[in-house]
Amino acid sequence: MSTKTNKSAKTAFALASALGTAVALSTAVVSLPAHAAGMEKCYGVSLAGENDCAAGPGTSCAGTSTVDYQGNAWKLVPEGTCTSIETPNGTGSLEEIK
Amino acid sequence: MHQPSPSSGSPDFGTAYPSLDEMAVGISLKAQHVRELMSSRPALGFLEIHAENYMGAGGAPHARLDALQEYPLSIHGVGLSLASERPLDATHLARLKTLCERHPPTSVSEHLAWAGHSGHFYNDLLPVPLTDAMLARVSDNLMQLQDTLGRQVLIENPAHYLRFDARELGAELIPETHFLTRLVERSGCGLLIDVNNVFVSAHNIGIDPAAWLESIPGHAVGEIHLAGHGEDSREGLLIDNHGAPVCDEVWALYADFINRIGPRPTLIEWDTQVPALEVLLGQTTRAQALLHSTRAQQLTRSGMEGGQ
Amino acid sequence: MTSLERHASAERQPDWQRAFIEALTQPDAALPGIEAGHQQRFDVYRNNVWASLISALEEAYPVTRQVVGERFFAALAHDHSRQHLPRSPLMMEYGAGLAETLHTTLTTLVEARQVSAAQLPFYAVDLARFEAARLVAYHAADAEALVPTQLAGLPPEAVMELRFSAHPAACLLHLEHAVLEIWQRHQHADATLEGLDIARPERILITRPALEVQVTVLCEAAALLLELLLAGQTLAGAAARLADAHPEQELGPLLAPLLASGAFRAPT
Repeated sequence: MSTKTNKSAKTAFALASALGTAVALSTAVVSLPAHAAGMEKCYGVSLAGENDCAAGPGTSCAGTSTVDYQGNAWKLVPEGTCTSIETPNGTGSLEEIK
Repeated sequence: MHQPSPSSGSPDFGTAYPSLDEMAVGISLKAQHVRELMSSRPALGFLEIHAENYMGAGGAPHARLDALQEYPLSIHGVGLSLASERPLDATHLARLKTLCERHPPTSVSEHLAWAGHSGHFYNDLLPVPLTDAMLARVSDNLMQLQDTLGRQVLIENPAHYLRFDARELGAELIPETHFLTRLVERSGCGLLIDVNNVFVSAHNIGIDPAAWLESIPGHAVGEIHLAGHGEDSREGLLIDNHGAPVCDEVWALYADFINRIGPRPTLIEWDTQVPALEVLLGQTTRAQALLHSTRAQQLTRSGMEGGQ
Repeated sequence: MTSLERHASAERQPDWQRAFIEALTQPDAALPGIEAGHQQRFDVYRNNVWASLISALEEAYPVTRQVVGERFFAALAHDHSRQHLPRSPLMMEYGAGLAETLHTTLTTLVEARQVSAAQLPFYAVDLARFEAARLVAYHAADAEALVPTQLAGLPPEAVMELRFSAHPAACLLHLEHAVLEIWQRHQHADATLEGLDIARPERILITRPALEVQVTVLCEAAALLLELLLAGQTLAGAAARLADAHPEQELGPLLAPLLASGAFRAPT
């Protein structure tokens, strides 16, 4: 047996062993809630609206009453939870931006 | 079973495809009701879906239909744009065919409307001046659709919000019921009559809803839609929002209509502000009762005729 | 009607539908062919079209909307729908590029209004990418995912040559913010991002081995391994590249989450 074959045989065994570890870990992981093997997992995630809207036009053959819609988002300022975030760069009340 | 019959001389798709039972009452299938439908399995004549919502490659929507396949399925398209001046979108037509193969429907329907132009889709049923040219157009498109699916397709009357000006359009306008009748004759399609749309349109553009329904050929009607509507305060229009119970006037028009043409598969259509399943089932009970009393009257009438 | 007249009348229609489309986008435009007293009623169609597109975007991006606020989102969705009309009647596919529109909008806001970028929720751009990717996975083709135990007991030579193919729903996102945690916190109405380092880059693997969309956060090395394997490398080849890039990491624990999440397709 040449050195090369020896080396590659060793790699093959190492790889097979790593795969064995992966298989064992991955089957164990499924029963763990989170933070297993450096991963975070969300179960029970269902799309907000497994509904026709996420999937398509729930209202496409239904009308809505006339409303005027405003565009030009850049003229507005995002509101909501962004006002309470703390970033390394600091934050400010977005409401104050004029 | 009632199968809307095409007039003589028009294409006949025979009886190779199934059709809904004339006494069937169904509801629009909404994701939020799926669990309850699966556990309580209420007695429903059919479930209706918007075709486009089930044209994704896979996942929960298809699994949902598989889990509820004991119910006859009505596939109701909203995006084929049959009244477009452009040829039908071949890709979309193929999608519809694929859907019908994957979840074989008991009924297929589309609208007398357009929704697309130059490769863009506008997600609404847009109105169309009913001219001779448009009749030829829609009829050709319908025949192509029916040939592709190998079955008859029902076409629905949309809700109207405005009146066209024939002189300005430079073309003669055909009354909607004549247009639908001629469409049946030319293409062999059936009709899906939305009684709420008739009521809403009658209010909005000033027609007599009873007279409108009176001039629809009963043999061509393969399904009826019942829905609720809203009101627009600014223009005083009724809006077909599918977001309320069926109103009393629509129930009355429906009762008269089936009294004349006989029982027909009927859908309670509710797409916005969707209520609890129980509420929908309450509406189906009312429709079912009207279908039963219509059938009872028919039997009495035919019994009297038979006894004479 | 002569055939010439018939032709002329058939030709008139497409022009009318084009005029209709143009009038949809112009609030004050009159549409020819409508009774004079009914022009105002054309607003019903204007409203139906734009409101339905905005509402489709709202439903596709519930958390992004929560983060930027309903009013801002409605305006953003309005702008987006004007610039990007749907290309098909499949509304489940609509709005794929909203993250880019949001990014452009926030950038414009910084430039036009001298707002500091740090004061704006640029992380919502990543959030929108994440929500879009989940929706794509939700509707992706069905396929059986590789079950890890199918790989148990392979002879070492076969392990060397092992290749994986991607499950049709699998998608790896490289994001600049801690999007998963942000998203999770917004599953409750009174969401707060207090105490969260949002500027933490995150690699998110989205999978859907059955019907439910699953989300797995990967470390840098696991993400590299996934990319190598999905690019068609053998396990041996990928392991060698991984050893170069992350000599301190062991292969087994990196491969485990990839196998567990259903990122690969079952052998056919």
